[in-house]
Amino acid sequence: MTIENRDGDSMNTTNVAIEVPVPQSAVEVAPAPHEWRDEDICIEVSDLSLAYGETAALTNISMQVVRQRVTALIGPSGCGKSTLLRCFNRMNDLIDSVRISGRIELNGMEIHAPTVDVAQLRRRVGMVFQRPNPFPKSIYENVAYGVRLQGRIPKSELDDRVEWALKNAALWEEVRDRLNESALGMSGGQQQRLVIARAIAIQPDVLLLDEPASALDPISTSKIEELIHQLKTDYTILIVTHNMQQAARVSDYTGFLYLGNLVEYDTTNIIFTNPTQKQTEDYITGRYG
Amino acid sequence: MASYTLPKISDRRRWINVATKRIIGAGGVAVIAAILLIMGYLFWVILPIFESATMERLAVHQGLPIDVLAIDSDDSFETVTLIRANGAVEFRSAATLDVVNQITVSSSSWVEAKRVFPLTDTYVVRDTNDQLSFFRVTHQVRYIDLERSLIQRVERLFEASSFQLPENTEHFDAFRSDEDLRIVARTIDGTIHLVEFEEVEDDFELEFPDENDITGPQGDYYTFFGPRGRFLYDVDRKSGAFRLLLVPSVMRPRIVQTASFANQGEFPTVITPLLGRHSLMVGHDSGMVVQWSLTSSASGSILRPIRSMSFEEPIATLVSEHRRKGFAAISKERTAFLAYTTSNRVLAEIELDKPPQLVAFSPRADRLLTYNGSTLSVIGIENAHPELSWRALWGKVWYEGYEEPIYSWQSSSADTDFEPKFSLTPLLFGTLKAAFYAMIFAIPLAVAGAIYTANFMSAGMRAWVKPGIEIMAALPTVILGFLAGLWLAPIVEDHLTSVLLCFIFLPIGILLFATLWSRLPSRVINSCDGWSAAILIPVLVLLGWLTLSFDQTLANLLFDGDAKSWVYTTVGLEYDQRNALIIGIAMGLAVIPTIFSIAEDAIYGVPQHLVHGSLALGATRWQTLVRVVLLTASPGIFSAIMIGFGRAVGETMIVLMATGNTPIMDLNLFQGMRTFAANIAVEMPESEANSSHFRILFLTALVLFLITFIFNTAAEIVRNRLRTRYGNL
Ligand SMILES: Nc1ncnc2c1ncn2[C@@H]1O[C@H](COP(=O)(O)OP(=O)(O)OP(=O)(O)O)[C@@H](O)[C@H]1O
Ligand SMILES: [Mg+2]
Repeated sequence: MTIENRDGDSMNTTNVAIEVPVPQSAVEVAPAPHEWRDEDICIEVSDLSLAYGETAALTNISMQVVRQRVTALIGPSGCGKSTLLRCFNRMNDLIDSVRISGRIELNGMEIHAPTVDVAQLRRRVGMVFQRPNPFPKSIYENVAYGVRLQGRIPKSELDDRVEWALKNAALWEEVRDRLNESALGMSGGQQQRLVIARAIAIQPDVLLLDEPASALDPISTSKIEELIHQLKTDYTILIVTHNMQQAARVSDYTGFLYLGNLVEYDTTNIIFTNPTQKQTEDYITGRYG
Repeated sequence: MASYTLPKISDRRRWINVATKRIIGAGGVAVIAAILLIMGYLFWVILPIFESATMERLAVHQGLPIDVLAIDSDDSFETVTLIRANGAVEFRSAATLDVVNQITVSSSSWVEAKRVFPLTDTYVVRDTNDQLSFFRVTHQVRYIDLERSLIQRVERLFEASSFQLPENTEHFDAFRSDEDLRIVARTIDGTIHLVEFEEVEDDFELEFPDENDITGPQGDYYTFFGPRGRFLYDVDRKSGAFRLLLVPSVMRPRIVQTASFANQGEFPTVITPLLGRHSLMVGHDSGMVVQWSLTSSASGSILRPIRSMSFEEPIATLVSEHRRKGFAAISKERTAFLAYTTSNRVLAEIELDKPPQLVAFSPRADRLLTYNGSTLSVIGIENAHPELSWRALWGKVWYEGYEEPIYSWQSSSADTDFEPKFSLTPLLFGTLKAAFYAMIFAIPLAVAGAIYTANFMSAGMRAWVKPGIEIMAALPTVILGFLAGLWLAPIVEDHLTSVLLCFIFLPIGILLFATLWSRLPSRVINSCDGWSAAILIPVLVLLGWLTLSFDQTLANLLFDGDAKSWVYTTVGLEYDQRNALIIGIAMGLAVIPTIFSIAEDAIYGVPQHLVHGSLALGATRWQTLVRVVLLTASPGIFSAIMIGFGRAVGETMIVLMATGNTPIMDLNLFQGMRTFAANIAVEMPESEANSSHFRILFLTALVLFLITFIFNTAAEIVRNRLRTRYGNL
């Protein structure tokens, strides 16, 4: 099934082989890994392994995430993309059976250190979950929630922040007249944009997006992509997506995960045009299910 | 287009669908029908309370003797008794007024006949020689050849001996108790002649009287005994001036009050004692009838006006019922009014043909007999529940003998002349008080416990705790009540200081322990993650035990050695052994499982993705709990509390066994209460079917039903509101 999007690009919703896309956003070409300077690195993962009880979900992952760039994680379902994403804000701590080894450094600081305040970490590493999870509160309260957690803030400032977040999440026009209505009355796509607005409202340093556009129509999707592109100037973004075109369009770097291993990690351009690993190529060209 | 027919539903499938639908529908309808039936039955029993009284002329009989001194009837109104001046007692069929029996009691002629207070079957007659003699009239049911017949008997008392009244006696009265017979006679010159025969028996002669003459004001006086023969009313018929005498024995009468019944300068026209003679009904030309009642005061009992009713026509005659506090007032314009004191209601009225010479109620107050020289009218009365009115049920009522209007529930007493007090307010108060204290105890424990169990407890421990607490709900409340009343109440009474201090020490102890705990190395803390509540158990037991064992020391330190008397003297609160504190604990324990279980389900059911969403935004566990978890679970927590409250309101056995069941209205933690449910349980077995008391108990059942209904409905509305706003499940 092919859908014409606004720009006239053909956009496939299944993983079918695609022609090499030119990232629209990449005005300035992302430097290749060997060009990375130390100060470019936002997150440094070394030798990270994770197991749910006895089942290993991630094995020996080492990667660096570049500051103010978009890094995409792709891979077949169940390969551990969400799990890896959850490592960055320690959401895996909430699962009793999880055992983690290895290091993750955020701006040079080990996030598993006992001195780290997990709540503070999560404020700086925002996350949008795979399934939209708005709170049973009004639209306004949902967006204001994270801001409010950080202490009292004047109403006008809060209003501005909510509006800013909603505008950036491409939701403002739809909800400006019903800010006080319950968020649960929104459509699935609207809810997804709402949780994105909620996440960016607290202005984190790093934004983890787990399939943020999976429930969205093409118009909203491209709005989200625009948003990601804009946010890049201030934030470091990690995005999980099953949509190859999307990965190609929005990201600067792409990592391919397979069965808990980081098979290949390079600039998006390389991954999509000239992957070194056979598995990567097979996946991108749709030879995996 | 290719036509395509959908496969038809198979017959079997359709049959199952229809049957299931019918069965479920029938079940639902049956439930509603059962509830409606219960409601319907309650209403059916209660409805007569609100039926208004009626008076209706049943018969007018002409041609009666003109020398009737008193009229009466038997209990079932089959026979009308006429006491005639010729010394005979005549019994006539109530239906036809044909003579069925006539018994000549005395050869001399009588001039006056009246009942001996407070008996209903004994008469005293005064003959032309001023001799008083006594006889008893009885109606006995006999079955002769299976045919029912009434046998009337007249039995002269005291071996037909008589008492000689002093000369010029104008008015007399007689009182008889189990032991003695008292007579008072008042002569024209103002002498009050008091006589007492001690230890009289029906078949012994009257002898050895104690006699005492006292002087009173001259005039047309009406002198008669009051309650238990220990009071004497001495009333000037003209001016309404009266004297109240206390007569512990006839030798030592004492005037306790001198006052007047005149109402704003208006003299009374007629004075009649109410059943039991605790009150006098005083009629006036203005149509006012004022109830004066003996009430206690600093100087002993005095008469005081407690109620007035207006009939708007000058009052000529007042006559009171034999078994209740009702009366009839007959105006000079020949209207007969039926009225009741407690409920302060004028119930019905009817026009009479002629002003009557004699008026009497039948014993059951279902007939009013009016006699006017040779004519007897029988008026039928339907007036089953005159003592009830909205005001009497819920408002303050000034009962006989009380200093002020009060709320009171006191449905029965050993005395036949007792005024029942049917105020539902103390019961409602008691019900809410019991529920209130139980909820104060239960809500914090149950809700906090639910929060902890659902959020912080390890899965392993939760698997024990949750079913454990839920099993407590299966504990028969009679056991809880029994333990509370017979085991806990005495312990609390003996160790009041430490029990009260436990409410302070335990929370503080928990907090202190928690602070210490958090200072421990994180290795220790982490190793007990989710089990810390279990560690608290020995701490609590130890603290409780310590507090209890230092009871006396603490009492000496804080309460001058005895908390109970300290509470009484310093705080001014009385202490009952079975009190609201006990109920709070016992009924609290009974409702905790309900509240805990529902609240825990609600909190535990808050989806994890919401919790994670909040945590991912940088919220702490505590912030997440307050701002997301509790908010989302609020409909469930709310209905848990409401269901718990409903249970507390309707709970019977615990309150029955551990409250003392005194229907007082006092929020005092250290006093008991009586609840609707306990009241029904206590009084229903001894209540006479279809009596006012019986119907009021049904009314309380309906009120209880309505309270739970209103609370549940309100809870449901609030819950739905909360759910549309916060619900997510
Ligand atoms: N909470 C958990 N407990 C146990 N195993 C889990 C848990 N979450 C994920 N897993 C397992 O870990 C593996 C990786 O899961 P993950 O959710 O990271 O996959 P994913 O790449 O995000 O897949 P998808 O594209 O379908 O979202 C899977 O095999 C999954 O079964
Ligand atoms: Mg995933």
